[in-house]
Amino acid sequence: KMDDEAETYRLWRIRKTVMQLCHDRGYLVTQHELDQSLEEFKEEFGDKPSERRPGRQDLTILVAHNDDPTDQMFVFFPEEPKVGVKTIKTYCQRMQEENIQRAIIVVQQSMTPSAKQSLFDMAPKYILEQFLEQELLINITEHELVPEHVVLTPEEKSELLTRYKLKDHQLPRIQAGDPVARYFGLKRGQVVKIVRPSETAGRYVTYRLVQ
Amino acid sequence: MAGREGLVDTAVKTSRSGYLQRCLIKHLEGLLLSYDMTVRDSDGGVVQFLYGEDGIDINKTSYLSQKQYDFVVDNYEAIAKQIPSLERAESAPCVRSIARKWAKYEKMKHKRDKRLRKHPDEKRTSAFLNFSKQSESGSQSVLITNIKTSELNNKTDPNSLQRQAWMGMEVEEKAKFEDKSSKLILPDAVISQYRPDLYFGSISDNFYNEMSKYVKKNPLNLPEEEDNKKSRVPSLNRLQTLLKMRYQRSLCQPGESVGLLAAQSIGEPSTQMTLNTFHFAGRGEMNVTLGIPRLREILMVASRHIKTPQITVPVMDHGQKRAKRLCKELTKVLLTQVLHKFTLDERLVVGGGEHGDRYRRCVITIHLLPERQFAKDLALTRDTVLRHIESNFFRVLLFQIQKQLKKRENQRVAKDTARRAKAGDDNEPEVSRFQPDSRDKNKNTEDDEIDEEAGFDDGDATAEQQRRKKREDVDYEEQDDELPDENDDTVLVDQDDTTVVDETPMDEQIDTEDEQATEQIDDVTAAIRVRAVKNLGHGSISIEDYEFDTNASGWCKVTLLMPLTSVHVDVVSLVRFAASTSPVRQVAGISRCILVPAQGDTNAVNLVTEGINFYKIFENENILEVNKLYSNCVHSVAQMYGIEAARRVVVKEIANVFAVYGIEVDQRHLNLIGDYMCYEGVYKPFNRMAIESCVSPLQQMSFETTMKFLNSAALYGLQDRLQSPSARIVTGQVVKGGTGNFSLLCPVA
Repeated sequence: KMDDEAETYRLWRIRKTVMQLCHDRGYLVTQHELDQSLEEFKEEFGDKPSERRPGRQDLTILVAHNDDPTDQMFVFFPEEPKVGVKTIKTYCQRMQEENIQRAIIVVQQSMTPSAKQSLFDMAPKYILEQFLEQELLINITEHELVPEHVVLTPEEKSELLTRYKLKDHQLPRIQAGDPVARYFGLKRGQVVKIVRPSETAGRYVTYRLVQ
Repeated sequence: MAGREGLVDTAVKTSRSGYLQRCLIKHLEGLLLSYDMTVRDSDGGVVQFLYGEDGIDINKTSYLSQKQYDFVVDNYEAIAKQIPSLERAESAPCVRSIARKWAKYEKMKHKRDKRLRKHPDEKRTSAFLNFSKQSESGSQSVLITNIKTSELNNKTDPNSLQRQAWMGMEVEEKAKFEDKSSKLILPDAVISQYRPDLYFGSISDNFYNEMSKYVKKNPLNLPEEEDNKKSRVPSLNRLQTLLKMRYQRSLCQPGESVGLLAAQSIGEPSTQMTLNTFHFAGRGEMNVTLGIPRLREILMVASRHIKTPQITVPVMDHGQKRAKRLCKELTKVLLTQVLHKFTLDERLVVGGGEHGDRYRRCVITIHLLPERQFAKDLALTRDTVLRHIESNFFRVLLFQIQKQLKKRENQRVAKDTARRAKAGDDNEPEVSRFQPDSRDKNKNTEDDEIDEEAGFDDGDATAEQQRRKKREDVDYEEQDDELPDENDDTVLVDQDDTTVVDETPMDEQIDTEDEQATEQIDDVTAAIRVRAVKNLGHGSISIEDYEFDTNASGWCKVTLLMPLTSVHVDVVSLVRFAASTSPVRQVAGISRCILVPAQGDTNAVNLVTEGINFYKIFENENILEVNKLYSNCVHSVAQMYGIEAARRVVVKEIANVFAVYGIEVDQRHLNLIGDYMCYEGVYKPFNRMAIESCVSPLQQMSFETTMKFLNSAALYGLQDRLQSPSARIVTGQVVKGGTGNFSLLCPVA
């Protein structure tokens, strides 16, 4: 019983962070979904995870992008702690059926190496990203040490490069596997604008190229 | 510290800090301030878009402090005379547009502060969220005629209704919600939009805020507007112009070797630090590495596993009680901490049994401390301890015994062969007892410590010595069967004899007391537990019998059967070893956890863990302020929070090292170093591994391992564009820093 309580709390936290992530990527998330309290969560999904109320499946999310409604993204919560290729295949099938190119898989414990490989194989047609549940217990972008990251559009990027007479490789870099880059789902070649709080200047703007 | 020791110390530490400075310089020598105010490496890569984040020359920072404002007012006439272009500057075309930007900034800041005060939780805004909020409150009538049924959202789900409605709206309609949403976002910093050297009035946010604070306060009662040209005091407007002028004049000059300045500014104070490496931070609570060793850890090794990793998290006010419990739960507990005593009865048994006709039988009886002695401090019950012994401790013990048996056997064989060989050939070296083991240990410690000169290794040497000593402790020969022991005085050893167990009367009393408190374990579960233990046999060792206290979980008794071999292992020391290494409870990565009162605030408390496990902290986000968590391990932060957070940690950690010695290094130097280290998106140290990413082969060669870099440069046909200072000196050219930064073009007559 104690476990159920803790597990429900956990699931609520994770879902909340996922909603914030979707919003921060520009997908349409309602205020209600962002603000959902633990009680509302229990009401909607139940509070007995051990009896599959909610099962992980029930938490599945589908969101559409604000700028382009055809750009939709799934968030899957696999039931099994260790996700294998089989699960990934079923998800892919579903994405194919509904014609959706993007998905996030929230893994409970780990993913088998072959499943990880299959994610790579699927790209770039289907972009599947994986997150661990424990990573999503909190939202790392809300941490006081993490400055604001804003993704630049291709036009803004070329404007930046001409302004400082730069080539791509002369920009500071951020790894594609960087937690913040993963949060925003950044692709190689994109540029993020970073607005740091600065002790000397108040605010300082820098840029990083996703590598 | 004695005088002589102090002298030795000084002699030793100069080489350390000297090498540190050299490493910094060889990496940073190419960083110059370019003509567009960016700090660039010799390959043109931008390390900072504005030097020091505000573009100010560090030597001139004091001219911009608020104390100087009064001075400017007092010496208005003299200063104004120095600046003939004052009027021209005031009427420059850019001034008005920049002023507009500042006005907007001020307005937005005001709005934002107000909004954040009103809704501190709503950190996210967008047009759709505004629409969503309105439609929830019912003021927006949502009319959806056609809803695509999806298996995810049923028809009545208000969230999907809102989305559908929003998607059906026209762009102009959407725009109506847009303007309100931008409240939270400040306009871009003016100084990042207009180059401060070209555009008069482009100053940093901080300077602007300080200036407007002064203007608002107006302590000298300056007039708002200029009355007449010959006034002896400046108007507020004129003062602002003057200050802006000062800012522009204090900007760092293009060509400045800012990298070298930063390297020297770290290198010089590091010579002042004494070599005292370990301090007790605060009130003797957590051990932290400090001084040069810590600097080397941050700057030169960038090791993944630092010596004293820790996490500090503020505890929420309402969570202090629960934090205390959490602290106990996070702290590692070893079996020795709850062990009262153990006895060993070891006998030689001849004849009978399925284990051959001769074997050794060891009966180990373990007594735990009375529960009330540790239950409160450690948040543990005897029952859990006993279960841990059954499931974990025995396994470790059997494994250790087996390992020792094998090792002894091997040693015996090796000794025999060596002796035999010696008899034949006296020159054959003898096989050292500990050699294979110590080599293994070395391998483990080597991989993250990349470049250590001989001097630095002495830390390792002592560690090795200690390890050997420890090993020897375990290995001691059987004749000295009773060693004086610091940890556990109550160990009674009785070899080849009947067991003598002295149970103190007090103990028995407590046991009976406990009996009433704890519930009895029924026979069925007891039988299951006994069977499980009996199955634990490992290799040639088996468990013959197991008993435990079913009433109060106070003791347990296990009987081991071991083959009788020509070698003998000392079981007592192995039990002691296993008890002092096997944790009854442990959270991965964390060894200790304490509550420390926060600095400044009297009530606030920080939770500090020795070791790192972020996820464990996240699980307790309801009592800990997770978003204010801080860790001194740069790699862990980079992995969890990304490179930008890691950069902040680098800067803060370096500043902290110096702060302990009362040394202050300018933030701009530290920023540059942080930016350089995190330039590639990974935390990169100042050593010869990291210089491989440098584009100038000559610079690489002039650092370390010349032949290696020369080889690879020749092998891959690398080019050197002769831009880096090292390369230019090698080829006898003027370095491109300072006045060498530009060249003159002369018309040919």
